[in-house]
Amino acid sequence: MNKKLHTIQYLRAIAALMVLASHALLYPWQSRRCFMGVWAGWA
Amino acid sequence: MILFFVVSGFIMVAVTGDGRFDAGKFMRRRILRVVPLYWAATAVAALAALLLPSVFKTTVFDGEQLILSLFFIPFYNPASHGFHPLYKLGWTLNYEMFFYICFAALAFLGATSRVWVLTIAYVALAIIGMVFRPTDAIPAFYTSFMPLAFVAGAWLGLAYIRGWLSVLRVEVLFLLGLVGVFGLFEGFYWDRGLVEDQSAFVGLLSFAASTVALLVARERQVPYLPTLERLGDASYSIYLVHMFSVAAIAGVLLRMMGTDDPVLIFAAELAAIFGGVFVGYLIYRAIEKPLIGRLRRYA
Repeated sequence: MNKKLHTIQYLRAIAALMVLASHALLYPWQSRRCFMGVWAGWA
Repeated sequence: MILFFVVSGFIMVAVTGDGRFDAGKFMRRRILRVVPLYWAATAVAALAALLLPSVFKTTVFDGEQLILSLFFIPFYNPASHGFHPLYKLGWTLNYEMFFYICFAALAFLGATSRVWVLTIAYVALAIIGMVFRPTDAIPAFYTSFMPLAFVAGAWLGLAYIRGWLSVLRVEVLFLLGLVGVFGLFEGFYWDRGLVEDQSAFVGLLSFAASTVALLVARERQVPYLPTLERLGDASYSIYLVHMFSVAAIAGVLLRMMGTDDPVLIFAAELAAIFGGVFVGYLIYRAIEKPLIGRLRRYA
């Protein structure tokens, strides 16, 4: 891969956004007190 | 996560090309890329768990866990009831590191043989896992079906360097799109996105592999979106720090609002998403990018 494929860059961004969004959307419904580990079941 | 693994498998094959490669150089580059930020995130989590234990629910400071985590050695974490390192997001990096080591160990082979050997090895491990169901952390972790996502990406990478993806017919691409949509629905809706579940894994893997194939096959037709490309560059930072940023933003907002109103809760979730992206990008620009630049000389 001599040059970066922009589609692969998009996919990396999409993957990060999917994880982030899933965790953010789950956060309030898991536990308001919990700081870390609320996503252990999901992850 | 599955999409990350598929993309990773793709990139490793695409960057190392058709023939043999220098395993030492490959590992040095991967370690320099992955380790510094992960160690920093782990150190922050460990320090926070040590100083503010009441803030955490399933993260407990433990010196032995810290050492194992830093060296990517899987262990059973009784606090989270899973094979999670001290900084939980690191479980994916444990798989990444396993894949890098396997990939580097096969550097003496050509790309096709390398991908075949990886496929056979990972399928064999997954079968062993399903048949014997090991309970000890290391065998249980590595006989998971999760590494098969890297294999799927490696095959796509091979198809890319051979030029097979760019000659796919429109009908095949349409079919790939359908597989992707169905896989996403199957993985996230029917199985509620639990990637530990085998059926959800198959769904999410189908989505990830077909999306990679579809987009790479139509690279020239896909519009250039500089913002999304920059987020791709920052994806590792976004991933690694989002646990802190999402929890901080959503936690503070929800506490301030103190409401059960679903609209306000959704607003807090949106703020956490945008804030998480912003903080991750900031970390990328301020820390990850300059750090990679400085470490490049050691690669």
